[in-house]
Amino acid sequence: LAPELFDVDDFGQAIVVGDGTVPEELADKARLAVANCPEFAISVLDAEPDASGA
Amino acid sequence: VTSTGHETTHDRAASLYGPVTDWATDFDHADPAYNERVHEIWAELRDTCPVAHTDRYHGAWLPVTHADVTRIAYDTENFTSRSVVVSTAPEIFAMAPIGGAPPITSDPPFHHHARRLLLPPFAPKQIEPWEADVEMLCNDLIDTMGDAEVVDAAMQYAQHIPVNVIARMLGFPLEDADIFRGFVHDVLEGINSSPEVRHEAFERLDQYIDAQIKDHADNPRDDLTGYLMNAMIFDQPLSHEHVRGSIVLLLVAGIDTTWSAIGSSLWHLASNPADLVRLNAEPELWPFAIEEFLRAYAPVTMARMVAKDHDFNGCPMKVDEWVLLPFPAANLDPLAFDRADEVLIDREENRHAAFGLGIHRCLGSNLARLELRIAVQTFVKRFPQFSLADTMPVTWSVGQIRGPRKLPIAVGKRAARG
Repeated sequence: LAPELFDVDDFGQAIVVGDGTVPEELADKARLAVANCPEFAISVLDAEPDASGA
Repeated sequence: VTSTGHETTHDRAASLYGPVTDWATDFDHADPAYNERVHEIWAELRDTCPVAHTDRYHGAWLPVTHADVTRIAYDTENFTSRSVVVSTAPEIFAMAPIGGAPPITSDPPFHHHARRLLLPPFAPKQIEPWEADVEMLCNDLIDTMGDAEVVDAAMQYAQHIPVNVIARMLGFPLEDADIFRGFVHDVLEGINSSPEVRHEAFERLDQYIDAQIKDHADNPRDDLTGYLMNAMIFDQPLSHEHVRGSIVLLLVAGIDTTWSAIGSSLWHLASNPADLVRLNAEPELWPFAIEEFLRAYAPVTMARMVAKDHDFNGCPMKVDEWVLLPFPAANLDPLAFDRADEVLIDREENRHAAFGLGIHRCLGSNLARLELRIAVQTFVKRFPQFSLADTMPVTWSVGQIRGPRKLPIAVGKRAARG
């Protein structure tokens, strides 16, 4: 569904690519992944406020 | 009695039970009327009796809501998987926690280890390389149809695809495809023949697989059978019964499930010309269409046995009674899906249960999806316009796996193999 966001290990279990940050252009794909995961295993968290406060 | 072929006549002749008159109190999934009218039956039960019961098969329950199917699928305390085909012979020798066809018939904690063994060969990395072969097979099957105006998309197409792939994965002779389909028929459709007939069928299946295992011992090779023969569990080689049981599972589960999904998807497109036109015009819809066909026509109903007497939503469930888990009924529950009774080929959010729920979720789903996608897309590519032929009726399978067994389709103009 979204190879940019998920990889699959040797047992066929999906794992998040990188640190799990969702680039803006992939937000829709991430939303679909959450909505379609059969085991409710995916969630997307809102970004934390910028620590620098700028 | 005139014999008209092996598909239905011998089952009806040997059936222990007669036709159903009340689906709420005396249902029978082996009555041919069940799969023919099942959407109607489930819808009615959902409104009037969401957990139906029958005294047939020494007692069986049929929950039809998404919530109840889900709850039972996840409850491995009150329900055991030791036998998963509701039939006259509950395979009494298949004892928990391993069962006759591990891991689908296994309970925790053994289940986890037996399943983990089978995950790597069915992971995407191992399955994706089959795509070109599956496409070639589909094109070859279509070429074999010549220039007939009407083809049987079940008999001449769908039924050949998964059987060919799983036979090659197991390293079994391809020319035995008819034998495999015979086994699948005996195990999954001959469910209400007498226990003696059923035991004989299982014995034939076991003997065939024993011979294949022996052939692999004599001529070792790199395939799934060899993989299982060399696999270890708890630092020990698998028992012969475990190897054989897992092969039974792969052979049976890998064949008519996907054959049914391919057939039902083609049946839908043949009956709904607007969807066929739209997929030809908007090929980016294919991934959503395939998932929607899986939801709306999910072929597999699983089963459990009650592990201990308990009350389920007011139903007094008794130990050793059966419980059917109709995942397709869960997929059609309006409380779980918007416009659940409509087939929407652009449905984007589709958390369907076609591959089951919980610890027994289908481990062959990557292969099943690949076969389904390539088979349906190749058919549409070669026959851009097709429709149901009215010369012969569509017939449906009997039992827990639902799909068309005869599917006459008028194919119109053809496109070249590309």
